[in-house]
Formats: sequence, C-alpha cells, structure tokens
Amino acid sequence: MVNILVNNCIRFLVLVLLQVLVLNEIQLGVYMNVYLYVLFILLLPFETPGWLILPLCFSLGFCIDISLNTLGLHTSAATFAAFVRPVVLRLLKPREGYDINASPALFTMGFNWFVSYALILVFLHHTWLFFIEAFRFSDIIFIFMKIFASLFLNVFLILLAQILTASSRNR
Amino acid sequence: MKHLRFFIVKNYFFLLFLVLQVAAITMLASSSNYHKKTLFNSSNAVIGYILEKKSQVSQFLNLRQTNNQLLEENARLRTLIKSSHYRVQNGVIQLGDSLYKKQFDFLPAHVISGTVNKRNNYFTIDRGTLNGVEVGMGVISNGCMVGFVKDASEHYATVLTVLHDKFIQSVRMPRNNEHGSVFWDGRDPNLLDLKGIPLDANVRGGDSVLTRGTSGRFPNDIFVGTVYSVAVKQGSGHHYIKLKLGIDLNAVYTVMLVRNKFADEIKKLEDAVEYGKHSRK
Repeated sequence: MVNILVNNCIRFLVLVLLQVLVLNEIQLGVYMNVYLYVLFILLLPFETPGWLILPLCFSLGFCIDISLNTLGLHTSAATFAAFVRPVVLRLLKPREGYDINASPALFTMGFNWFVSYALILVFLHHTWLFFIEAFRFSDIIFIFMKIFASLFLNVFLILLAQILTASSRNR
Repeated sequence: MKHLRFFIVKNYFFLLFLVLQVAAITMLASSSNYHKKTLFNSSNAVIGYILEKKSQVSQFLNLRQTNNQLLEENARLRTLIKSSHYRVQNGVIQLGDSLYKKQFDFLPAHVISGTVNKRNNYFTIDRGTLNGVEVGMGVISNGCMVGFVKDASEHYATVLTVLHDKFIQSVRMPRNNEHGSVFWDGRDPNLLDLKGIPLDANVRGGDSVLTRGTSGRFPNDIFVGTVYSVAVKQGSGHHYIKLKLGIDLNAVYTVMLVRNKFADEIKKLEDAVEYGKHSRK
C-alpha cells in the first residue's frame, strides 16, 4: 500500500519535471504536441477512489499549465480524463474482473488490452484538450488532424516509456 | 434533506468533477483576458528560476545560431551609425539637434522558454520589473516584431507572441501605403493573416509589411514579414493576404524590449478622449 503511494508520488514528480524541462521544448511541427504526462492518469491503480483521482489529476494539469502559460487548459483536460477513466475501465473489463492490487500497466494487463486502453483514454483527453484550446468548431478538420497526430505520437511514447521503465520483475 | 444527502453521496464523483471543471474553465477564461494580471504563470519566481536553470543548459546548444543572429543585427545597425556615412559637405558643424528627441529605449533579454506549436504561444524571458520591464512593452528580435509583455514579476516576464489568439497589430505596406492589421489563425506558425487591404491596392508576393507604430507599442517600420500569397475573398472588398513571418520564432534566443518614453503621454491623451466620450453622454 505504502509502496504504491510512494511509486505514484515519484511518477507524478518525474512526469511533471520531464514534461516541463524536456518535452515542452520539443516542437515537432504544428500537429504533433508531446504530452507524456497523461501516463500518470493511465497508470493510477484500479482501486483509486473517486475523491482522490479527480483532485490528483486537477493538480497534475495545473502544474503543466503554469509552465506553459495556459492556465486552466490542461487542468480541465486532465480532470476530464480522470472523470472518464472509470468508464473506460468498465468498458474494457476482462471476464474475470481486475486484480484489485494491480495497476493498469503494459506488463500486468498485456499488450492488446493496454494499447486499446491508452488509445481510448488519450484520445478522449486530446479531443477535450484541443477543442478547448481552439475554442471554436470552424477549424474542425485541422483540430482532428492535430488530435490524431498527437494521439499516435503520445501512445507510442507511452508504450516506449512503459517498456523502458519496466523492472525485470515485471517482465 | 435526507434525499439531498443521498443524492450528493450517490453522485459525488460527478459533482466533484463538475466543481473542478468549472474551476478550471474559470481559470482559463480569466487568464486569456490579457488586461488581467495572472499570478500563476511562467514569470512566477519559482517557475522562472527552474526555466532559467534549464535554459542555461540548453543555451549551449544554440550558441552558433545565436551568434549568427547577433552578427547580422550588428552589421545592420553598423550601417546606420554616423561613422559609416561619408560626409558630403565639409565645414558644417552639427550641434545638439533639437529637431530629434529620443522616443524609444531598447532593453536586451534572453528567451528562457517558449513554444510555437500551441494555439496560444508564449515566451518567458529573464528580465523583470527590477530591470525596467513593464506590462505592454513591445518585443522585437533581430529587427522583427515578436510580441508584447503580458505579465512581469521581479525577475522574469512572459511575452505574448505573434502566434496568439489575442495578438493584433496594425501594419502598413510601404510600396502602396495601405494599412491593415495582422493576426494569427492558429495553423502554420510561419504564416500570419493580413486583413484590411482594399482590392484596388496593388499587392504583390514578396512585398514587405512593417509596423505602423500607432499603438506606441512598437516604433514605426519594424519589420513584420513579406507577402506570401494574395487571394480575393468573394464579397468582402478586401484582399485575403497571407504573410510570411520575418523571423522563425522557434529559433529566437535573444529579444529586445521596446520602451516608449512617451507612453504615459499617449495614454493620458487617450484617457482624456475616453473621459470626454463618457461625460458627453
């Protein structure tokens, strides 16, 4: 229990610092935006209570916003992702249910499950984010190109991060 | 009462989401109002410090490019100073010329963080109110328009760049003396929109576009960009012009802040006009 808590705290700090210090500097053209911090929302344990997950993601988005001068934007998107996460998890529930002590990671849940989980949740997060950022529906094709370009880039980076940080025990 | 409590307990997840979402959207709405000073931004002392440390590392990677930019700018400025002009008429002595009064001061700063691929892009610079930075000052780099100061703390400031929803600048085209305004549509970070040039004006690709200096934020004739494409929009009576930005904002490492010494005077006059409008009603 304490272990899980410490792990998630460290993950929070590392992902915020990584996003602020390194990833925000990477500019791969207009379409691809690197937002790896979503990984934190993905990897929270299955049994994280609702009253905790919402404020956690709220503060995660807030940290990102301060560094990017987009106060409220990532806060809103991360809170939305936290809100839809239980729905996505219910949707993808395997027949025998989830292992309560596990977290939805690549090596505990398998490649297919994790990729579909990441694709759905990151897609919802990006859709919310880029539409609020643009604040208009007139550029809808442009916004969807942005959403999909960033979606595939970020899911790829999430898988990469999972593979690189997995300890030998998990494999 | 019992029902209400039951309802809240049953739907607390959704209600908490609503509360937090409303808080986030309120923050977003109030921070995009650029007249308002916001506390939580990258000119904040702690964030500014972290970004500055980061840029001290990454600056080394850009030294060659920065040097080239400075070299270009120095060469351009050197052509303007007195000693590089040949004196045609000898024997005329010039004393302090009262026809000219200095209006603009320039303040150098380093860009310590910035983006170009978001809908609204900001720079963070390493100069603040202690160095004389004021909110609203124009920002240029290598003789090109970059943006203006949105917020300033003691040691840092955030710059709202050209690539922002709220940026609009009045410009003129020296070849045909028409004027219009530029803004960004949020797509390509190299292309701006120029509006307000009437159809009878002669516009060609490659025409240069300069600031008008009407707002007092920039001096006259600061370079903005060149005409990239011209089209006619049906029924508008105006050209639909795309501008190629004169500077690659992704490669801006040093900037200059423009201090208008007459800014107070202009503001006082404008306020007087506003006041006059209201008192007549």
